[in-house]
Amino acid sequence: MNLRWTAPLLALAMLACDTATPDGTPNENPTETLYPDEWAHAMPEDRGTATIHPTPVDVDVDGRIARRMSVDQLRRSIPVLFDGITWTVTVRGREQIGFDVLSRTLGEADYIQATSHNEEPSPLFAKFMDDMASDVCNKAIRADLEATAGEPRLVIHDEADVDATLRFLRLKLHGIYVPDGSTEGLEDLRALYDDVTAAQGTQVGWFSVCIAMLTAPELIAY
Amino acid sequence: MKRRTFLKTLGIGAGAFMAHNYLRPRRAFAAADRSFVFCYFRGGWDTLLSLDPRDPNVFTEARREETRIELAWDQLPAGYPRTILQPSGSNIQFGPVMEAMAPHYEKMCVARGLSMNTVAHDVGRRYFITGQTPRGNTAAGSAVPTRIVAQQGDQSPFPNLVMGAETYNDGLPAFASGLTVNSVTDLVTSLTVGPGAPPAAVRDRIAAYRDGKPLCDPVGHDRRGLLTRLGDSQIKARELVESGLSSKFAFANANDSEMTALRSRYGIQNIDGVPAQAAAAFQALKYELTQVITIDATQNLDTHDGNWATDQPDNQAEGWTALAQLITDLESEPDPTRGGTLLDNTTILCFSEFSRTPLLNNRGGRDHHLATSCALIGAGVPGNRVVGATSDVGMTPMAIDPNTGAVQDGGTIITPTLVIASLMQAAGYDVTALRTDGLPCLMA
Repeated sequence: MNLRWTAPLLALAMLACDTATPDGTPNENPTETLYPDEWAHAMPEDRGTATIHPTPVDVDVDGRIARRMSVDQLRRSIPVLFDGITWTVTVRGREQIGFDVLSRTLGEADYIQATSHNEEPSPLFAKFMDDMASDVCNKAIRADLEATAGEPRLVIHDEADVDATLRFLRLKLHGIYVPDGSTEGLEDLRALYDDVTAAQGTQVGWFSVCIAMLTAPELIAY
Repeated sequence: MKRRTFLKTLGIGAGAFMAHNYLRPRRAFAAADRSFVFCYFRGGWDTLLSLDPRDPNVFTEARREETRIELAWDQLPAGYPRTILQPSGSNIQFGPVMEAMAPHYEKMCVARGLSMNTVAHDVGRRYFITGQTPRGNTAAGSAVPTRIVAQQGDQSPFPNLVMGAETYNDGLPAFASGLTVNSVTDLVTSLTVGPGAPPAAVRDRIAAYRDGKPLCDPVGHDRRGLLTRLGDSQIKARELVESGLSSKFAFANANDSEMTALRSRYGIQNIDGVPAQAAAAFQALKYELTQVITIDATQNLDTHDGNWATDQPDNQAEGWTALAQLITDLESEPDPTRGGTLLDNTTILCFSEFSRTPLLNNRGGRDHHLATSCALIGAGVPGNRVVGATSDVGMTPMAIDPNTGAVQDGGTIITPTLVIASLMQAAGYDVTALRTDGLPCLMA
């Protein structure tokens, strides 16, 4: 191409680039500076300061939205976390699994009456999660107290070291690793344990911590 | 109520709590919202005994072959009238099992000659529950209570409470889904601190921990408010179990004068029986536990055999009697938020999956019949009105003038869809999903 025509064409191209984004869609903010020369060798810092738009709060741009654990996830997770212990309720004198007996109430679809899971954290769900946590934590702590030395503990990992046990539970129930020596994110739990233990003894102290962690959003939401 | 306020109140007011025994939940309804009670008469009712009777002096045994209608009221147990009931001033004729309901004629509209297009229990039931013809045996779309609550919004602890019946949610907001409890006992369990729960002081401390603890991921996980909603629900659940509302459904409690009075008024013998469900509906509306409640108003009415003569009248009468008491109670309970009485702001729909054949079968029972009736009571209902009819030969559905409800050749055949559309439209709700408008004659 004759060099005589190159300069005007280049000017026209730059003009076009000034009003359209690199992919060709119209620029909604024509006053905003665009750098449609990403293939050049310029470094980002050569451009000076950039305008960063805050992420709109009502737009899902950074991954999927959070969900409540489904009944089936809870049904399968709790026995894994507590060595086979699960939530049971007594119905007409018979002990049955709470997640099964109350599955509809907790929002599980049966594909006959309800074709989709109701995973809204409703008051009824929250109520029965409290019941579940009370039942499971009761059984787990009882098992811990009856365990012989050397046997793995379900809740009271190290009775002598409260923070170590809280770190253990934080990782086990919430999937959050707290390094040895750190108490980050454990302060509130420690205060809960201390307050309840002072009033009701260590067993109830661990009971309260177990319930609080089993019903925490770190476990119920993902 | 804010979380911190609630906890503070709990701490300060423990003594007051014990003294008052319950905390009435805050008034939740918007003034324009309406409450609903759906009463399902399970098994297929005999409308000749209730909503669509015939005069025994006209429809005699001698004319059975001509009319294809056989009342057989002489087989009913002693104590039931052998005549049509029609209070002075009433345009509605009631059958012998509706003695308790007859005085409520002014608040009531009876639709007769509904065509169910099915004689299968599941299909008929789902037709009425959803207002849409099922796809085969499967419900099409959401249950009517779910549709209503989806439009009303989440305004009470159990917005759509379903006791012992079916409910469906097909693509509507989750809060509108029916919260199913199988019985009054289950409802009480839902409102009671669970077995093995820690002492109240520990529960308070756990609640304070939840309150003070920062949200684990306010930017990501709470972007749509899930964590906030969970926290609010935990508070709401705690409010409910601590409020003592379960005591409002403890019908067996001999030491509570309110329970004693309810037991007496409704004739409650069994806490999970039909009268207890009607009483629970009243209490749930009175204490604003729910916006829409569905109850199982009868024991099984599927009387194909000789049990028609005994179970059908007794079970139907039990349901109607309980319902009559519910109406009386709603009518006498003031509604401080919406004005008037609870009945002024509540619509009741009584339905069954179909009716029973006008002729007895060779086993002395009645089989399934396509034409049925239903009853609408309360707010938005044209009182003291009969809409539609079944024919005097074989009780087939007759077409009506949609404006007057009078029988009209070439008119409209009433269906559950039209009844549901009328009920919703009269209350100001959108009926687009039903693909039809309501019948003017069914709307006040």
